[in-house]
Amino acid sequence: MNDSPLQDKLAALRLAFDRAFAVAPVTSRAPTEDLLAIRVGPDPYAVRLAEISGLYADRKVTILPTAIPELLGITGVRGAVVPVYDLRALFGYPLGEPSRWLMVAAGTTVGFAFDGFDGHLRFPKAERLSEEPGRAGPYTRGVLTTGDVSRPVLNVGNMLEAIQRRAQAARTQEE
Amino acid sequence: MTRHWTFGQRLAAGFAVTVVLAIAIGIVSVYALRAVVTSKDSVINVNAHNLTEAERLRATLERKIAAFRGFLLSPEDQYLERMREARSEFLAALARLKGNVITEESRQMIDAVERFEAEHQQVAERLVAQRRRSTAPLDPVAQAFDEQAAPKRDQIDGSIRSFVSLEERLLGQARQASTDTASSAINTTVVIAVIVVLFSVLAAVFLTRTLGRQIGTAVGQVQSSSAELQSAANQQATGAKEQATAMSEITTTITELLATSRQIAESAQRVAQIAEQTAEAARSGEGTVEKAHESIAGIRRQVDQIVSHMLELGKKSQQIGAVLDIVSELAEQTNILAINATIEAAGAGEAGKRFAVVAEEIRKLADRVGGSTKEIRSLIEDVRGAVNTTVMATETGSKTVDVGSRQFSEVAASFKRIAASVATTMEAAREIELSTKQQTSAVEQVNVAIADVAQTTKETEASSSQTLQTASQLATLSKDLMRVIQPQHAV
Repeated sequence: MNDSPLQDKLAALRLAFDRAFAVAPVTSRAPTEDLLAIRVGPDPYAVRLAEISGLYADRKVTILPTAIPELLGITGVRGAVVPVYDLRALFGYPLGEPSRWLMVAAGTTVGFAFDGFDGHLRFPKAERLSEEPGRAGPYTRGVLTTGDVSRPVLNVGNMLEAIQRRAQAARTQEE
Repeated sequence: MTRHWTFGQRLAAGFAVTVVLAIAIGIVSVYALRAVVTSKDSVINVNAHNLTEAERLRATLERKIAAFRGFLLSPEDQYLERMREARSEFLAALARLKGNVITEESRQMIDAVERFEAEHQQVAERLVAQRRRSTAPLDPVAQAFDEQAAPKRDQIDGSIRSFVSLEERLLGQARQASTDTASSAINTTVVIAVIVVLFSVLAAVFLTRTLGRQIGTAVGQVQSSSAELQSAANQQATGAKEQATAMSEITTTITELLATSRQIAESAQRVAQIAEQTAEAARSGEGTVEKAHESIAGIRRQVDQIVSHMLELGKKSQQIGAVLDIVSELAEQTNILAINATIEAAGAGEAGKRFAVVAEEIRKLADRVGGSTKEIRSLIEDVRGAVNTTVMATETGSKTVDVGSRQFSEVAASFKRIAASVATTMEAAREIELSTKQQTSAVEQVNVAIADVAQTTKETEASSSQTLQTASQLATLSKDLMRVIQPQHAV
């Protein structure tokens, strides 16, 4: 087995790390769009980084008795109690293994659980973003195509509204 | 029981009965003769003696009376002396008669004679005294003699005559009794003699019939046996001839057997030599196999070490995988932190831009670390797969080595068995050689013995002819004997 590729890779990593502290900060550049590549069920999705306030993994979720089928339970994030909703249930996927990943909607204390995190995507704004509807219907606002993979971009606002409606309907039903 | 008596026993029994009867005849005869003798003796000793003594009494009485008369005629002492002597003899004869008589009547007569004699003696003594005293004439004395002494003498004579007549009568009775006893003994002897003759005739007839039957049966059996003996002698002669022929063939066969035994001995010797060479080759092969077995054992130890090292390598790979999991998780957490830092930097506005740049760099680094960990994980998986494949291959090789080792062990065991079998074969070949030599010696002895047997067979043949001749003579003899015993049944 040849060790030189691993040594080269290690040297490249060390060089990149050191360069991050050595080069001058780039302050002026073209506006970019940051997205997170995720998976709900078997399908890939994307969510704008601006629409979430945090990304977490392996959080313990406490189950609550509730009439809302999408509500998995509650968890604690930075001192706040956050209700966690299952995107698979919200998007109509069949239930499966508990979701490992959690993201908190920006400006709220509502969390969404999803199955996989594929990485951080950054590219110039409006580039390669079509407006055609995605697989999740009203919960998306376009499709991001990277290579051969097409990712519907989630509309977190619509998702919050739908959750509020469900919550109200459940409250009404309880009353 | 008499059926089982032998010839001699029956003859002895017949003679014994005859002898017993003869002894009985003898006893009866002796008894009768003794009775006759006793009667005769009684007649002679008692009656005749008594008559003799009576005559002696009469004679002495006459002598006494003659002496008495003489004295009366001439009174001399010699007459007295004669008189006393005659009287003494008279009394002695009387005493003998007294002791000899056996009947009361005779005794009374003797007593009467004694009494009359005493009275006569008194008269005589008185007349003697009278004659001696006086020298007177003889007449008164003669008268007194005739008146006193003569009657007494007549009484004595009368008594003696009566006694004599009595004794004569008793003598006649005794003679008749003796004659009767003798007649009775003769009759008894005759009767017993007749019985003996009858029994002897019966015994002779019985013995003749019985013994004739027995001897006839025995002679018949002798005839049958002699016939069988003739047949057996013929068969024996024939068998002896066949045996002589067979002996000749056996001698030829034994000669061939002798040659074959010698060939077998030589072959066994060659087999023993070849077996010894084979044993040497087997021992050499056993040493070679033993070395190969040791080499295989060394290979097996090395293969075991390879398996151990490979398993150790697998464990190290697992440990590397665990470390890589930690690195991957650290990269993931770093990525999450970088993303959250980016979010926070965006929320901080212009002031957070520089921080956002750093966060971006950290995130990129975390991404690249994550990618590298994935590549390393792939490489480690390849290594683990190769290790597993190698372990499986080495285990297969180890099993193959085991199989080879077992096969070599079996080969070694087979070589040992071959060596043992060859040793056994060599020993057996030597024993065969020795046994064959002994067999050759024994066959030679058998050959000599067969020659002796052939000679004996010839002698047997001659003896069979002699036996046949003897059997023929025996058959003739038995026919003659049968003719003697049972002429009507003789052929």
